[in-house]
Amino acid sequence: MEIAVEGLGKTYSSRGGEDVVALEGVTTTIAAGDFVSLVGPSGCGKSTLLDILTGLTPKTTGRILFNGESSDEIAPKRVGLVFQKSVLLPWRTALENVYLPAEVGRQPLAKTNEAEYRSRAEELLDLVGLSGFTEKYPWELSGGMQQRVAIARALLLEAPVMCMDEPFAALDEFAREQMHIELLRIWDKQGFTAVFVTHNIFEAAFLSNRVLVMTPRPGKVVAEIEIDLPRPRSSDMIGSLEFTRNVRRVRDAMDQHWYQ
Amino acid sequence: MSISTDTAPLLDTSRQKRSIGAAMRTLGLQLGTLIVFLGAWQILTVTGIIPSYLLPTASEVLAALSRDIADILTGGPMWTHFYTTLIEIVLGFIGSVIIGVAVGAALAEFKVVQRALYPYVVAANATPRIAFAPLIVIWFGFDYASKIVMAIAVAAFPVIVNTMAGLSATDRDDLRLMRSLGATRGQIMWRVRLPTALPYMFAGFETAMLFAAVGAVIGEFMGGNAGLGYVTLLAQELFRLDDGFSAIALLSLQGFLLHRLVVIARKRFVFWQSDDTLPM
Repeated sequence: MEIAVEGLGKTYSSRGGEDVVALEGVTTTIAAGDFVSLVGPSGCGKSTLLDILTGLTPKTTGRILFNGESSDEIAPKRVGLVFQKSVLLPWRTALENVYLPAEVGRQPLAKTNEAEYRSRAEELLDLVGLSGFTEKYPWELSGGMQQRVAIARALLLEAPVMCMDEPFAALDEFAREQMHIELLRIWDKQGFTAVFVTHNIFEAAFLSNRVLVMTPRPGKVVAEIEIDLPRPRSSDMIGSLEFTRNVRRVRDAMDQHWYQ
Repeated sequence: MSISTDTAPLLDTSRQKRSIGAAMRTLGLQLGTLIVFLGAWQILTVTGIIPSYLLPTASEVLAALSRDIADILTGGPMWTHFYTTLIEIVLGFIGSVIIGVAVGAALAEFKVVQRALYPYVVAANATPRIAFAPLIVIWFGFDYASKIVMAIAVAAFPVIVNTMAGLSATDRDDLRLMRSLGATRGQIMWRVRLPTALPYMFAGFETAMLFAAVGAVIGEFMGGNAGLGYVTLLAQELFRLDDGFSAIALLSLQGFLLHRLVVIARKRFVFWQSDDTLPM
């Protein structure tokens, strides 16, 4: 699903009467099936942009078009969401957590198609490499496994867009690298449009087709860097000259606009 | 399928075996404590260091206690006292849970209710409700009702406060997730807020069970002619200290078992939170 963002802005009015501009004039187009990362320091509005895309926060100005349709008409279930924390409900098994999106909403999909969504949840756990863990509770899983369950949950309703807000920031280095490869494999297989928020330039460069560099006060996109690494990406590429050069380009764009 | 290197914490059986051995040692330690305590009591009283008109010997109390337990098991007069208090505590507890959950939920759910009532809830909680005991007897008489009302007056508050706190403790990210999925208010309540509140509510229930016992005994002190609290009062008036201690031991046993029931229920319903740090 193509996402077109046009002149998007978000202003929070604080109690003291001073308005805080979180996001200003963000314009970009993300092609269907693309993998785009938003990088920038804290407070650059990357999470705000994500919240607006997912419909959690209303925008102040501008518009978002999903395949040409205005975002206001897009049901929330069109966007899958993965947070920094896995946000799994501890009283539900891995399978029940993945199944959750089918149970809620004004017209829960599970009401008519319970068996279908159950088996789909099982397939997704298999896809993220957790086929033997369907009946485990979140606290019985490692951090990386919990995040895999969260990804499977975001995929349940086959949302054409997947928004991820620093999903691997809490993982250790090894688990994170592994999750990068896993995520790209899942993305390749499912074909969703991926919007990935991170403050890790390496991560952004490794995963994405394109990196949007953002700066704070007010939050805006100051550069768009095409990553010219071939696909499929593999961990061998990390440390290669090509990879380093791409990371450098993102860095340079950031330094140039941030330290002005 | 890809191979994952990150592994889940797994339970192994050797650890379980060790924990059974540890449990036996703990039990031995706890029985040892009891024996040392009773032995010291016996020595202090038999030797006359503590005069018998102040404290009966441990063996006298144990004799009274085994007589009373036999009486309870054969359905004698002590049985009537035992189950009278038991019913008062249990009904007081149930009443506290019903009222406490309803009021706590109303306070958490409706901000208007919270703004209007919360200071008074805090004030009422700070009031020693025992002071109402004489009035409660006037209003509800010398029968069961006054004891149950007394129990509720003491025990409902921990349930109110914990239910309110629990329903307000929902994780912000959980709410973001549910909202991103388009969940309705009811779905969020049943699937997220209530389960989140359960550990808090059960902590309230545990306290409520103990407080209900306090309320019931105070109720019995204020009047009536049945119950273990009444027995201790009578024993005091007749200067039968061994009988008094026996009744107190029975109250203690009753409270302990009832509290255990709540703990067992909590472990069953709040299975995702364990508290294996306490040796029980």
